[in-house]
Amino acid sequence: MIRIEQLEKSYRLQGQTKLILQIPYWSVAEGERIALLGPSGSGKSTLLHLIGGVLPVDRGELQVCGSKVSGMNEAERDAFRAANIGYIFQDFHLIPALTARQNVEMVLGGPADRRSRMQQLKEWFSRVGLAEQMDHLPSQLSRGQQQRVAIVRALINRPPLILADEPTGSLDWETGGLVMKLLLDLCEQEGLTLLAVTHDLYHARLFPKTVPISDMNRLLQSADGLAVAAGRGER
Amino acid sequence: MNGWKLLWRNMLYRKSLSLLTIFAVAVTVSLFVLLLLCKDGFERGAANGYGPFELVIGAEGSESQLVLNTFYRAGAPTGNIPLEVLQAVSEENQVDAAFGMTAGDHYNGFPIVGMDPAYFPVRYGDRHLKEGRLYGQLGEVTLGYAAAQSLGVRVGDQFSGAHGLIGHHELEEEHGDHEEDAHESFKYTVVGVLPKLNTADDRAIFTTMDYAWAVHDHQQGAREVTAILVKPKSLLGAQSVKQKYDQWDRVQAVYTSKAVADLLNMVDTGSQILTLVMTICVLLAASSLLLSLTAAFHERKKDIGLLRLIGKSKSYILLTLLGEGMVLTAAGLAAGLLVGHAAGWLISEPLFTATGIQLEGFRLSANEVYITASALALGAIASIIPAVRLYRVDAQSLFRS
Repeated sequence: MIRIEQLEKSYRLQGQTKLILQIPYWSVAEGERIALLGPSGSGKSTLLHLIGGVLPVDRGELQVCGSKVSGMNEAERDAFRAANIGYIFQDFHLIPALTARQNVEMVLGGPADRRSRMQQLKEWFSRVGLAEQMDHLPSQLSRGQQQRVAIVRALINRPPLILADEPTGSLDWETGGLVMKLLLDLCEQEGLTLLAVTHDLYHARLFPKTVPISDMNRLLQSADGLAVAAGRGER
Repeated sequence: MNGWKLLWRNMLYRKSLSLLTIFAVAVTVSLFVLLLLCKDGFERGAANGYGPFELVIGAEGSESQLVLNTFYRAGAPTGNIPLEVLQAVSEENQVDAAFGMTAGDHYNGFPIVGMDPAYFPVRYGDRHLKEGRLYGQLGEVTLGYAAAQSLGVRVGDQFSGAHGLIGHHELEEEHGDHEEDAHESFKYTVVGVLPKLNTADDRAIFTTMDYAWAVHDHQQGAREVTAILVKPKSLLGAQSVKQKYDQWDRVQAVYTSKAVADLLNMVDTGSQILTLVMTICVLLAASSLLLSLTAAFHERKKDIGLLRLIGKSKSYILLTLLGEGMVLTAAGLAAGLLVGHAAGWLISEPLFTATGIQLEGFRLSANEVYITASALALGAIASIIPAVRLYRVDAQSLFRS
């Protein structure tokens, strides 16, 4: 599903280029559900955005869902992402002017006729326990409910890869646990690959597999954290 | 979900701002429409307002004032001239028809005009009266259409006039009790109502020319007229009559068309100033649209980042904001055109009664095509700046704080 070789990513900060990520090799098999662990600033979100085609790869090779993402231009990455990736964010990012149903409809492909689409929407909203709240605006939903809408939006087209960036970061501990469990269950039921970034060890333990970013980011292996790594990575 | 639905939902979500923008555009457009209707009405009234009477003779003074008072029943007359002038003009070979006019009194704000009844067929051709007949004897009056409607009088009703012109009621104060008693004791009897003529005659009360002499107790030798309306046989004839009577003491002869053209030029200057003010209104409305859409840009930056992340094209993003600007402009434009014309229709009667400017509320003007095109073009220009900024938003913006 994901294959990384000699991947590097740098950012320009205050006129200086700083190396953030240096991964010699890493791979994820289809259907795996992995929690990527690490402290803030360790590069785990950057890795997620590289895999999702949001950020361009500076150097090395990145293959996702059988496509070579490294080397793609912006338009190609947009098309790749729309076809293969479901995204879940810490801040949900629901469009406030649209109802929960309309937020999901924004991404909905599949059946063209209205009745089938409605059926599909009802089914998914029922699965996350929001059948009664389909026509609510995001402002009328709790934060946990908003994240469940975002999960439906990410999964409804059954993309092969789901990327979740701190999906429980804006939720209280208990709600976060419930949402993470729901996400894991749905991905398992649908046979989708899930890669979630989190710094919450409790929520990470719900995953069948956890990977500390320090296991793959060479910059974090030889020192005591990113601050040192970033300093060493300066070019 | 198609772009139109998103656009509609976005407009509904910020409906106060959307309505405010529509309101700003609508008010500007409706004011423009009203201004155009007034200008059209005035120009049409001015062009049709003097019929075949190419020449007007009256007391020395302002040419515009003489024409305004004689044909448009507005303002004060320049003064009176001796009745002998009318007799002399009527005997001129170059004159086809000449009608003396006496004025100076009013009834509830509507001018009482003394005029030979033969004026009507010469001016308007053979027309049927709305009600009754034309006046024939001293004390009989035939009312213009608008005056009759506004006063609510019917054939057979009687009333007394008052001295002074509309807007010059203060003059009445200067006259003694004897003058007031004369007006009070002189009764007019309504004998007919004119059909709608679409000129200032609609808001006048017509009677025989000798009413003024009777009311104001003028002896045979001291009789005067306020103006003489002259229909010359030819333009050359008009010129010779003008030259001749211009030389008379305290008398002036005026080419009606020239005086009307001077008036239109004055109105044109006035409307140019108004257009300048309106242009400022247009810029304010465009600024309102620009501010609204710029606020939308800042509000929706993350939303657009999300749309880009889920694969919506840049053209989709561009069209949603550009479309929103255009829909707001078009809605304001449609509302403005409707309100402008409705307001024109609503004020047409009172405006005509008060000023003689006749608006045709639902008459479409060719200039409205320019208003429509300009409003849409300005809407597009105001929308394009924030729309292009949104066009440049990429998926990464979703993750920037």
